[in-house]
Amino acid sequence: MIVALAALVFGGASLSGATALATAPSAAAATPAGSGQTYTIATDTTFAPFEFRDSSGELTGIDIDIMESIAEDQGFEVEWQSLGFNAALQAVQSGQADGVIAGMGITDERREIFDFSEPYFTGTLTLAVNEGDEGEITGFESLEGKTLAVKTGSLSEEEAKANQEEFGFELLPLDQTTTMVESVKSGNADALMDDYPIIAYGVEQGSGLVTVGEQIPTGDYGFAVNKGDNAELLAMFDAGLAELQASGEYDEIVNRYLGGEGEDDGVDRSTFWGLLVTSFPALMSGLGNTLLVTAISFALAMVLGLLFGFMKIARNPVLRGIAVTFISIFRGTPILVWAFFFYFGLPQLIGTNVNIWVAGVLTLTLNGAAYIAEIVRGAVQSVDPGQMEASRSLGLGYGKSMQRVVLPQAFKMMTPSLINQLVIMLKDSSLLLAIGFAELLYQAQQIYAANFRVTEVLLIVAVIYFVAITLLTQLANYVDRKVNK
Amino acid sequence: MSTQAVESTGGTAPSRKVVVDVQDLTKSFGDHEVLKGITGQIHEGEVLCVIGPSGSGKSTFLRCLNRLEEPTGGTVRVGDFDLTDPKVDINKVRRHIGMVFQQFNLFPHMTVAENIMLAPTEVKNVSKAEARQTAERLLDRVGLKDKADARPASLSGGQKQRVAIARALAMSPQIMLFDEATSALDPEMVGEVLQVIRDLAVEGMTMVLVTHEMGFAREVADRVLFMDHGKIVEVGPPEQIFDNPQQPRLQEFLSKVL
Repeated sequence: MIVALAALVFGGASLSGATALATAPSAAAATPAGSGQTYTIATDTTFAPFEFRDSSGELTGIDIDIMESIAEDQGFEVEWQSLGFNAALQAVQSGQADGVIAGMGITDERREIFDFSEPYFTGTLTLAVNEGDEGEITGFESLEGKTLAVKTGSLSEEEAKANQEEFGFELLPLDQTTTMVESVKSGNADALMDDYPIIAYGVEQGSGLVTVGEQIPTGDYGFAVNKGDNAELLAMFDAGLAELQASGEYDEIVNRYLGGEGEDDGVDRSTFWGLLVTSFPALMSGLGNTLLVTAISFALAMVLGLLFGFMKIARNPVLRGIAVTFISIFRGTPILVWAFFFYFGLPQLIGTNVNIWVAGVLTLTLNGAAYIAEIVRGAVQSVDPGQMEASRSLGLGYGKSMQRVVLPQAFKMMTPSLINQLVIMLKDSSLLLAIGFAELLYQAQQIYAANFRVTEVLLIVAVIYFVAITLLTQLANYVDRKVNK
Repeated sequence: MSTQAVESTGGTAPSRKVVVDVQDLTKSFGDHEVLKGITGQIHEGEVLCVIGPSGSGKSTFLRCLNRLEEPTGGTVRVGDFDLTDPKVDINKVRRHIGMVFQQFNLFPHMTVAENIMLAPTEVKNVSKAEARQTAERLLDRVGLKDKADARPASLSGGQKQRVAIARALAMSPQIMLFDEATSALDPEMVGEVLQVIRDLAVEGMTMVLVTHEMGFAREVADRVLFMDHGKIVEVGPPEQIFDNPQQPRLQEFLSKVL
């Protein structure tokens, strides 16, 4: 009995479906099935006003507020995974997340893969151009020979493709709204097409764009789960949504974001100082994660790197072969491939979720270990062979000679390279933003995704990286001088 | 010249213990045969100098005596150990054989005293305090008492080599091997190192020296061994080798170097 209870509590989402079926007849009336559970909900990173980070780095937006209000109403817990739109869909398909709410249009194509809730928002698409171009571009008909930025795999791409032949424009499919806005601002695209609420919110935040033409109705936004899974979660969402709409809380939420009432905490966000002050807490939490994931990965990579470095100079051909294979695999493949593999691919192979920290640390560790192994090998081999001969001649064994004579000198020689590798690893950790790891650059993306002030935010982030790396290098050099006198 | 040397030149010293016994030693690097069958013995207290042109195999011969080079064939016995027996604990054998290298090979990350204390503390489990005492005594003996806590990098070549000799002596070896111990030194520093070796000879240390210092070999050696092309060409007391060489190859060599 206790075991069964434990399985219920810890078994997670995949179990709860079966449980819900088994207990449904008796329990459904009193408490909804799945109540008390924690569900992992994936969402986009950059879809203001549906989801974005507020000034303190908290995830907020229409989708977030609706989901959390429903969760409260229905008595379940939500754990957010802020991933980017395509990654969020993948996360649900791979079982990393139980559901996705990301301003996601309900389409027949998606219905084949996902089960949708009742629509919770009716979306429209709009064209937008740089302020001043609104006289020249007024709709699809004035786009001939021009470039239109659209969001990859979204309704905007579908709609634009449907009109492309008739009006003769080029498509520039991009992953994120921010990138689309930047493309228009920099002149790489002449116009963009995206969801009206997002663009309207950006215009309000001073994005420098204006909306043009008629809004095109796109259909409805829905919350989705993997087809056939988490039926109880879907049911709770529909029930909760009906409650919100009936109580008027739904309108409250939507007006909070589209009614023209921004955050008001007395800080003037339009200045650089205001931006710095409001974004600092989120960026510092990102820096903390960056430093922590780098520190853990570097420590583990040192252990593995030493091991493989020694295996590579071993006399045993099997050990040497293993080391050579390991090093060539991880030096010969991009970090991003492994980040995606460990976070999205591995769960499908082993049938269980992989924590994002585990995936991030694995990625950085294995990549770093391959380089550190080469550093170790190089340093050990560059110690004068006469040192080993002198030590062996005195009667010290191979291991003792390595430990007392060769390695201390090798460490001294490899220290500058190791510091270099540490700095590279810290910078490489920013690649983990692709799987939604909340490190420094990811936090920056969250911030400029909401306020579209890309250049200023990136400048701040660059300075933070620079200061962090400079201090780290100084510290490492100090330790080097203390240890390797 | 010591009295021991005079006795040794007699060639028959049955009472003397054999320290090194080499039988038909061969060594090849790939297809290249460097040693083509070396046979001979070194007795307790004897100083043997090995001379010969470069590439003659004299350094390889010396390095086979503590198995820094693995012999290809033949046997090498040092003291009670057969070095060519695959089951021999080579680390145990090497405690009894001191080696001094052309390039000194001091450990640069340790002080002079730590260089000397490493083997006694690691291999013989001597206490640090005792090893330190031994180190200071040996440094005094090679004239470097005040350098105990210096780093090797701060020493001159001659001083480094004297530390290297002290380091080898710290294990109280039965025999000392010198591989061109003065070849890397500036001329004005050769004397101080040779003086230390000379003192060892007087004290009766068994030694094999590969050297280019003909004058020193004549002075300190009990026997001189001339090698060429991986073979012993001629061996005998220094008077014979330098004043009355028998083999044309040796005569030719001496005419070039003397």
